[in-house]
Amino acid sequence: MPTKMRRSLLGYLPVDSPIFSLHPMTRLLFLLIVSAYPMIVRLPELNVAGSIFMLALFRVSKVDLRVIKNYKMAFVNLFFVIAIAYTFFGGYNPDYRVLIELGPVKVCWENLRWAMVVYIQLIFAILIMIFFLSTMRERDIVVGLRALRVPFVLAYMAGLALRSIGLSIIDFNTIREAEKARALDLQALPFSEKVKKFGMYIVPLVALAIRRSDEVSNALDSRGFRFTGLKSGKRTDYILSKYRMTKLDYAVLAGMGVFLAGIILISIYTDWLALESSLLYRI
Amino acid sequence: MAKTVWDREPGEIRRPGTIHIAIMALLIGVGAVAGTFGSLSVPLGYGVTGFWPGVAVQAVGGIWFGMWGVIAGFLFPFISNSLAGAPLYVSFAYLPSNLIQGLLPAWAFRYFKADPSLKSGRDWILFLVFGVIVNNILGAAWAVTALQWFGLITVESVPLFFSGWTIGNGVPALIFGAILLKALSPLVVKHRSFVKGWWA
Repeated sequence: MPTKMRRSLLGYLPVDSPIFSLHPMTRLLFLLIVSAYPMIVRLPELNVAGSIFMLALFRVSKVDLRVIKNYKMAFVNLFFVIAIAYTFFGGYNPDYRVLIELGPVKVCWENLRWAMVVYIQLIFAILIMIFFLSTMRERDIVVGLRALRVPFVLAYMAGLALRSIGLSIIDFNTIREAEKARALDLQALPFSEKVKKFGMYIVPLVALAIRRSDEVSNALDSRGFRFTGLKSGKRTDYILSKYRMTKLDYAVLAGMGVFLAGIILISIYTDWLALESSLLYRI
Repeated sequence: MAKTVWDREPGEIRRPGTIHIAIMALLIGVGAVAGTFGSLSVPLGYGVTGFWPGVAVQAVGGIWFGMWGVIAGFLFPFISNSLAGAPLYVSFAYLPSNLIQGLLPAWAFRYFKADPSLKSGRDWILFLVFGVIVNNILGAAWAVTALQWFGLITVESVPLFFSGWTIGNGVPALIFGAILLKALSPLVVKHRSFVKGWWA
């Protein structure tokens, strides 16, 4: 019997994924808190450990690891950009150790080392983002925001914005189908034309969004919505009532908070997390 | 002085309404789709791209919908950058850049009372200066400063990223921004979502 799946922002996730036992607010705070780790810590060993931890989390949460493959080009591209930025535009100091000289360009170990530090740091940060997008649904983000007591109008707008991405993609596909029906062969177009064509889709997409704004606005008005919430006054937030914070949520939040506070304090009061402590700096 | 689209009719009352919430949310959606395609098409790294059509949504959104378009313009890159694989804090760092790219053309068109339909040479010049050149130069200047401050790029590579951002945003802002303004402004200025002031 096929496994039941739930649609996330990036793909599908089995309904029995352990990640669903966490409250959406915890998962939303996971992005905000854990994303700060690679921002504070430069030490590559710790960022490698963070990346391994994230991959383990993907596995435990039953996220299809093929989702990371979709970002293969982003990782490769980032590698080249960082390598070029730091080796060819990294600057030169007489103290640097020159590895190769390519005409006027000196490729130095110090620049290459810095490129590795930045790349490893970004890999960890990107894995956090992919994990978030792979495990969250539009509904989860709205519930998370409401649980955080974000004003109604902001939570509603976030929900509508996320929903409108889906609507825009549907509109986008409709436009492409219409083009195909008029015998436009997208495969035969050169890359530059494809890029130009993709950009041109903005015009009908914006036109459709403006038309749809009338429908959405009328629907909101007819249901008695206003900026501060419902005109009828206080009432139970139905969607929020479906979720409960558990001991596991509090434990995860406490763990993330303690770890964050720990690395901030260690960074301020000791040099344990300083780059000079890294193996790369002993080479 | 001739009447412009920014002048209120006698006795006209304008208030923010649900239409503005709706248009802001829908612009975030459109911008996120356009921005993601751009970020994935000619990537330079850290969400910087050689061709980013999302900037047209920022400039045009600000001109048509005032602060609602400006807010949408600095929120949707969070989504598009994330989907394209940029870390969260890099998206945060770009926030002022994305704000200025929508805010400057919005201010210029209102202050100089330029027609969003780009009917005269003056309208074109204002769009080129504030909606294509200055806003993107300021946006790029902040973005590369932020990247450099985070230690993600070196001082020597700043010109590479600066020119990448300016050209990658400037060209689509000019092409798609002009097309959007010429094609849709006559309809938008008559629509109830059009914002003559900053909020309504």
